[in-house]
Amino acid sequence: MHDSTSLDTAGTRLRAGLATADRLRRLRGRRRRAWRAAPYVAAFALCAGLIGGLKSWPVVLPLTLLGAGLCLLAAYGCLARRTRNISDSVAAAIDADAGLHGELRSAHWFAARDTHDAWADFHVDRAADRTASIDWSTVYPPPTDRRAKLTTGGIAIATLLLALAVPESSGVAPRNTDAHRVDRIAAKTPPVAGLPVGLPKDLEALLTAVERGTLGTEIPANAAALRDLIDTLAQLHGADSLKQLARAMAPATDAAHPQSTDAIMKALAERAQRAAESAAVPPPMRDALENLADDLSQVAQTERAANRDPRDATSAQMPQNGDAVQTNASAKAEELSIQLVRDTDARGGPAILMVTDPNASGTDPGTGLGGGSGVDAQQGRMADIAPALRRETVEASANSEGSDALTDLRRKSERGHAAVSFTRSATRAFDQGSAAAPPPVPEARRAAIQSYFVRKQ
Amino acid sequence: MTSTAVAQSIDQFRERFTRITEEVGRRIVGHEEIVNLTVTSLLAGGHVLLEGIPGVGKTSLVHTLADVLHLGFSRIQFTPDLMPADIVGTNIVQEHAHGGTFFEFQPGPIFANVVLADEINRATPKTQSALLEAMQDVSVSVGKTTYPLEQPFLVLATQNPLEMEGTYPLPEAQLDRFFFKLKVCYPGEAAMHEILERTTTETQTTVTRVLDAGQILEMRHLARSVPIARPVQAYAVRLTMGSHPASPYATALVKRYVRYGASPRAAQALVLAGKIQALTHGRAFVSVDDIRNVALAALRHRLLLNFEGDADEVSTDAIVTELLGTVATE
Repeated sequence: MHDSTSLDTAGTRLRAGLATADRLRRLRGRRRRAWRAAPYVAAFALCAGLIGGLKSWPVVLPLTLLGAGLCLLAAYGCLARRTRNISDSVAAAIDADAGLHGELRSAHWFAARDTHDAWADFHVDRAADRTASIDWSTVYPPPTDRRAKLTTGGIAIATLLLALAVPESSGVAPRNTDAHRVDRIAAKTPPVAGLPVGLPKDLEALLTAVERGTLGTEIPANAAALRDLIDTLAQLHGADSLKQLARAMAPATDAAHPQSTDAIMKALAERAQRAAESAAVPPPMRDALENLADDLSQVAQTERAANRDPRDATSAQMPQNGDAVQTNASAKAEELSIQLVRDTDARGGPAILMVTDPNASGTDPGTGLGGGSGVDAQQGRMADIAPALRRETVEASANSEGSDALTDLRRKSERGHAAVSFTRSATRAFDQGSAAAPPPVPEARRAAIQSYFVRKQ
Repeated sequence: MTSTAVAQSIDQFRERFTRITEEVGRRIVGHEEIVNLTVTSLLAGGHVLLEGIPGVGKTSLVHTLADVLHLGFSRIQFTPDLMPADIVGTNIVQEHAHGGTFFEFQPGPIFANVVLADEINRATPKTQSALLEAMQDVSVSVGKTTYPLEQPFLVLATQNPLEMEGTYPLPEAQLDRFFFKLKVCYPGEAAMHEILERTTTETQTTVTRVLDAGQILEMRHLARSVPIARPVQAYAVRLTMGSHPASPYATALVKRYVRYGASPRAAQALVLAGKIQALTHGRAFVSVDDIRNVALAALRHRLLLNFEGDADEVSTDAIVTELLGTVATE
């Protein structure tokens, strides 16, 4: 007779021993994997630090990566301490590691069953004794991995030194590029006559926030400062003020190749225009930015024209032989405009007259909004064109049904027709003469085939 | 049965097994593994087919085993003209003392504990089939009467793999009834010296009888008591099923060369032999290694090759070896 209590005790001892072995085994395996991955994590953090120094990333980034990576690896290793159900494969692996020749695996299976007999009890009891007698820390010693530890430590120290050695003010690795740029602009901009104090810094902060998509987080969209900035921009029209503003906000460039004023203004106009097209910008600020972009573009064009070759400038400003022709063309355009107004009035309908600068180049102004195609001429202003374009812009989401007449036409055109046809062939008699003979049996296989098919008598 | 009794039984089994093999080893040299597996088959209640070239000690092994086990022994030399009645016996007419005749059954040589069927493939299939009932049911039917055979009953058949002229390959049903098929190879150089010293001098090696039939039956009963865990048994099942071409465990060689795989008798042989192997090592459990150690002997004769396998002269040993290397132990 077997004692079920002793069996439970033996089974419990066996399971406890197996759990200990399994925990040490997993801990060893996970630690080994973690230490194997640790140098790569540290190297990744070091690379991030090096690249960050070139790309002006925050200094804390590599340190954060290093810390997070090592914490993850440590957590991965510590998770092995949890107790889990031991499967047959795990028991077999532990059994093999301990050199028990299948005893632990077999006993583990019997210990988990409800039905027992004397042989199974004896087996489990003996396996439990053997399991308890094994020093599992010698079977699963903690991994040394000295090389991995040294490598990881060295790389981590290098990462730390790299982060500490690069000063914030050296210009190599500023902490925050955008904030640094805003501060630099504020620092380099002396108070300028006609230019409100703090406008470059505020505008730079606004444009940066829009470009980074953080307008709602870093700068509240409805802040009072933003309203003040809108008012300030609305009052900013003078060419000198715009030039000062563009110069104050110009990025640091190479002293050997300084940028021209019109290029700086054009770049700022493009930034303002891009910011105005952002959906995150509130409508009043959008209009203000658009006006600023237009003003900057206009002043930039004027500046560029003024900086041209003096001979061109002379020919443009002083009338010579062709001047009479140009005067005649202007007169013709004026007459056309007047005639158009007269015709329109005669029909009683509305008319739009585009009044152009008579000093513009010799192209016809044409009717409607805008102007001629002359490049250098002052044509219809962007401020007038943009609202008209916005009116004519159809949102993609606002597509109205019935307007896509082409869709139906296209679908009809895609409708195809298929026809199925059958062909019949006359029955033919099988010609045995054309049948191919079976392939000959290879000489090497002939004896084997004969012995296979012909039974010995 | 207490744990102490179990431990004593295991020790006793091991001690008896060792005594048998050591006693046989006094006369048979260089075939320890063959002796071990033959005794294993005897204790499992199975029969053994010994295959080897002439002169390597097959018949001597069987003689020695019968001497050591104190069992009834008979030898049948299989020839082409051997008839079934020459094996199982026949009814002969006898006269009563007071007059009149009657039929009396005259038992054949099959009525023994250890039967040596020497060169079994020289008899016709009809005669070979006379052993089927005896090997499977341990009984013989003559006319309308069935005669039980005495336990333990062990058929040890030998065959020569070289001389194929005038032989009749054993049918699959006959092959499947052999627990093991053992290939008796040439002994090694040291074993050859030992054989010469024992057989070419005046001294005759004598063996003593160490066990009787009752003790062997007791050992058989004990062997079946050894528990086997389901994962280990599952390995035996996977090995057996892996020998079938349509099985998911089938290897490349099995799929290409095997026509029919091993029968459930193969799985029975694997498990039973595994239990005896465990006991001989003093263990109360069966391990995967026990199954693997007997897999070759239990499976090699149960694989039926297809035409391509025959033509390419593929060895079933190679197929079983590949199975052992491929089928997962977990």
